[in-house]
Amino acid sequence: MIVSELMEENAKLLNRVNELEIQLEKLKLEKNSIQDKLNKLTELNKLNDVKELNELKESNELKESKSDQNDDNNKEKGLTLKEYLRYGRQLILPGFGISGQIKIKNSSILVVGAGGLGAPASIYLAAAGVGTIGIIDYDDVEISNLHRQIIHNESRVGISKVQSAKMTIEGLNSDCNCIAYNMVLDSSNALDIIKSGKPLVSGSALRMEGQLVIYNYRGGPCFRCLFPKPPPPETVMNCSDNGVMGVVPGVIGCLQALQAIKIIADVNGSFNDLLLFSATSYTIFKSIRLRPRKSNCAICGENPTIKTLQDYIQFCGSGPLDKTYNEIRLKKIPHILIDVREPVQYDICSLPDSWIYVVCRYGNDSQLGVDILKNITKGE
Amino acid sequence: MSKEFKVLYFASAKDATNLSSETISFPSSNPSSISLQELTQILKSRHKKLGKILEHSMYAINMKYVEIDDTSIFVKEGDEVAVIPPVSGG
Repeated sequence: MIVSELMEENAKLLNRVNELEIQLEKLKLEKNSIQDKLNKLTELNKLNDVKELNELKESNELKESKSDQNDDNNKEKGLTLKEYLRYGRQLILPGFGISGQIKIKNSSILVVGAGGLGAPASIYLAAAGVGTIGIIDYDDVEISNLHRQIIHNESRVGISKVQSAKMTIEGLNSDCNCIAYNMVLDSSNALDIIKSGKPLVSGSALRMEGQLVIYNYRGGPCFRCLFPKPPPPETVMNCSDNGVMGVVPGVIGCLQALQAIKIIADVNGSFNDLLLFSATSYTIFKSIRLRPRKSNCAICGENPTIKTLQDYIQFCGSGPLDKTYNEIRLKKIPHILIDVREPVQYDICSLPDSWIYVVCRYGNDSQLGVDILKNITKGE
Repeated sequence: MSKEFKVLYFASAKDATNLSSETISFPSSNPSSISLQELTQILKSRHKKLGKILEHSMYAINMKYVEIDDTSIFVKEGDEVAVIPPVSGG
């Protein structure tokens, strides 16, 4: 009984082993077929890669040989393989394309000021592949610049802004030829630049507002056409005295880079507008349609009366005056200081003597005096 | 009801008036349109600090630039006048 039972069990197990062996064979076949397919696909992929690479190389060599010939004629340089990869996302844009990229590669742009506007503008111009970027600025990097002048950083405090900007640009795009001009742009060196007749993409930003205009382009106005009279000195404002939200010049500087690229690459768009940016307005951007240049403009008109340059400081008659008071304090000359600045400035930095003390014997008359003074200030 | 126009103030004009915009009624002498010279006078009389700023600002009517000395241009009912001084800084 036991033997027969064991033999039966044995037969069942043998059957099971056979079944499993058949299944194993089937799986092996399946595996081989999958492996085959995989091998074929890998092979195909490799072939495609090589083919694509060869195609790229061929077209590249074509363009390079073309540009070699062109070099002799001082004409455009084509794109290298590296540049095809780098600017791919930009190259595939309809209306920009390879021709646009080649145009900006062969262009040179002068960025006036490596500050809140120049910082983002230069960064985007370099990133986009502009061949040569000149940057002119006379100033050094200060810690108070860093909230908006994002081309600089903490380790650059104390060095010249143009050197710092050049370092950032070269780190971002080693193909960009960045030229640093550590000097003031003034009447002594600006005339040749102006006479070259290049378009000027002008931006400004102060507090929470900014403006963007393109001057001297496609028959559009010059600055003098729009603003014929110089502003009086007391209305000329700067960022250190009036404050600026860091992002505001960031917005305007980016738009300056965009407009410059559009001009160079011949991208369609409107260029004859004054763009007004106001961070606190219901509509952040407003666009004012401008007129063509004025025929009677003192600079770009038919009979120009202004042919030489005058420096802005003399033109607007403004200059720093804060040093005079420092002298009075240091020499301890008796005085009353009345601080009439806005509360936001007073809160940040008030001077120790900007208080008026009213004294009397019992405190009644002094109270009256304080009330009179308060009423005077309210009346203003 | 008297006819009105709107004025938008930018940059230093905004600071001087403490307003970003305001609606102004036409004067009884010219109840439906005023020249740019009259506009300047009205704005000056409303805001003492605006006088100097207007001398070097530009005007735009309905988002179109107008030449400040153009005598053929008039502000009409419902117009939107923008006062735009040059902005420095960056």
